[in-house]
Amino acid sequence: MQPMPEWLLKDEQYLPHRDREAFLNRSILSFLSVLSKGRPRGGKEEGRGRMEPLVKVLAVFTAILLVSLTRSPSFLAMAGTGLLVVLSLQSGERIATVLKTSLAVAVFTVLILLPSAFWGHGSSLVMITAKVLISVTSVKLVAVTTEWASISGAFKRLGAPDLFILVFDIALKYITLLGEFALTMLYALKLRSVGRNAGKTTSLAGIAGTLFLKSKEMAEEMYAAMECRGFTGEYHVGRMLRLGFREVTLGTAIVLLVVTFYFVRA
Amino acid sequence: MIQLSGVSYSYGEGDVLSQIDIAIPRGEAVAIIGPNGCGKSTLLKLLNGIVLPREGRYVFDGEEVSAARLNQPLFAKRFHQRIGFLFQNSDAQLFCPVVHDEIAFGPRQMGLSEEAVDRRVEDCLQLLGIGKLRSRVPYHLSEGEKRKVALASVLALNPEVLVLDEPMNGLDPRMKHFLREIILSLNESGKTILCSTHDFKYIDGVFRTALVLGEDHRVARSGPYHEIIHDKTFLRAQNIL
Repeated sequence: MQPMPEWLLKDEQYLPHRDREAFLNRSILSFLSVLSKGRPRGGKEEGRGRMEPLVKVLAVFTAILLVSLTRSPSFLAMAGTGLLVVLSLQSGERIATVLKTSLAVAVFTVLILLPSAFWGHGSSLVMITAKVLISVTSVKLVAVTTEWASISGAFKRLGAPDLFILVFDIALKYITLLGEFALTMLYALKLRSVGRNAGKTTSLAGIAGTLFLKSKEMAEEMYAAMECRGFTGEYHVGRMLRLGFREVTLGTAIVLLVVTFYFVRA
Repeated sequence: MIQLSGVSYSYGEGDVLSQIDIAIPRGEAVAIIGPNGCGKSTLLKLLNGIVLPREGRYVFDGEEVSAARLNQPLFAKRFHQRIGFLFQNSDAQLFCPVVHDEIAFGPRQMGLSEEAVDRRVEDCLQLLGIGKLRSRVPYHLSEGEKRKVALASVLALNPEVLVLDEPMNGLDPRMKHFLREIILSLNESGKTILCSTHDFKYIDGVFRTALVLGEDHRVARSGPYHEIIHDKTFLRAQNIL
C-alpha cells in the first residue's frame, strides 16, 4: 500500500467560488418530475376503487368517441356530470392530480381558440373546450387509478398487436430505469461540482454519452434474457377477467350514454 | 461532526427512515448495516444532502443542513467538498472522457493550479494502483477498476468525511481486500468513514461503531462494532445473518 499523500492528511482550507448552476439544478428537478410521474405510485389501484381495467379502458374509449362526435351541448353536459360523479368518488389528492392536468389543457385550448370567439364562433369555443376537458379528464382519471401493467393487459384484451404491447411495456419500464440512472449521474455531478466548472456542457455531454451506452447495454441484455427465456413474440395476460358490481354499473352508464347520444342526435 | 435528531424521510408512501437519531464524532469509522430496503442508501443520500429530512434536524459540524442552506451555493459547495460520496453504482459516478479528467474534475473546480491538480491526480492514481488507467475511458473499465476510479475522483477533493454505499458489491476478493486496506488507511489518516455494507468478512477490524437499521426503518441498535457483529441472535432477528 502506497503511503497517503501529504495533502490528504490535512484539512482542506478551501473557500468556494460562485458559479452558474441553474441548468444542472433544473435538469435534476425535471428528471425528478418525470420519474415521479412514471413510477407506479400514480396508477396504484386502491382496494375501494378497484375496477377491471378493460372495462375502464373501454368506457373511456366509448366516452371520448361519443363526446368528440356530438354536437349537442345537453349531451356534453350529461357526460360531464357523469364524469364529475366518478371523479368525486376519488381521494382529494387524486382529484387534484387529475384536475391540474385537465384544467391546464382546457386553459391552453381556450387560449388557442380565443380568436374564433371574436369572429362570432363563441359557441364553438365552449363546445371544443368542454370536449377537450372531458376527454383529458377521463384519460387522466384512468391513468391515475390504473397500474400501467393493467392498462397494457387491457390493450391486449382489446386485440392490440403483441409487438405494440411489448414496446409499450418496455418503453415505460426503461423510461423509469434510465431516468433513475440519469438522475443519479446528475447527483454525482452536483456533489463534485464544488467550485467553478468551466466545462459544464462537457460534463453534461459526458452524462448523455454514458446514458446512451447504458441504454444500449440494457437493451442488449434484455434481448439476450428474452432469447434465453424462449420469447416467441407472444404476450400473455395472466389475470382473469373480473366483472363485479362496479364494472356492471360503469358498463350500464356507458350503455345509457350511447343510447342518449343516439336519441339526442335524432 | 454529524448529528441527526429525529430524522424521518419518505418517498411518498410510508417512511423510508423513521425517527433516526445519530451522533458521529470526527474521525469515527461507522458501519451501517441492515437488511435490504431498510433505508441504508437513503440515509447515506441524506447525509450527503441529496435528499432532505421530512422531519427532524441534520447538523454537520455545527451547521444545520437544510433546504435553505443548500440553496446557498457557497455553503452547498463547501459542504459537498467536505463530505465525499462513493455511489453504489460506479457507472453513475463517472462522466468524464478519460480517467485523468475524471479525477481532475474536482480539484480543477477548486481553483488549484494545473500543476497541483496533476500532482493530486497522480497521487490518487498511485494510491489506488491505477496509474496505467489514466488515459482509459471510464465506462469501459472493469467493475473493480471503475470503483477505484470513482474513489479516486472523490479522494481528489480531500473530503473530511467519506460516505461509501456498499463499496464491496460486485468486486472480487482481492479487490475487496484492497478496498479494506484503503478504508483503514484513510480512517487512520483522520478521515471520518461511514459505510453501508453486507460484506462482514472483508471489513473486520475496520469499524469501531456499527449502526443497525431495522426493517421498520428505525435504528435497531448502535454501539461497538465487534459487540454487535458477534451478537448472532440479534443479527438473525434483524434479518442480517
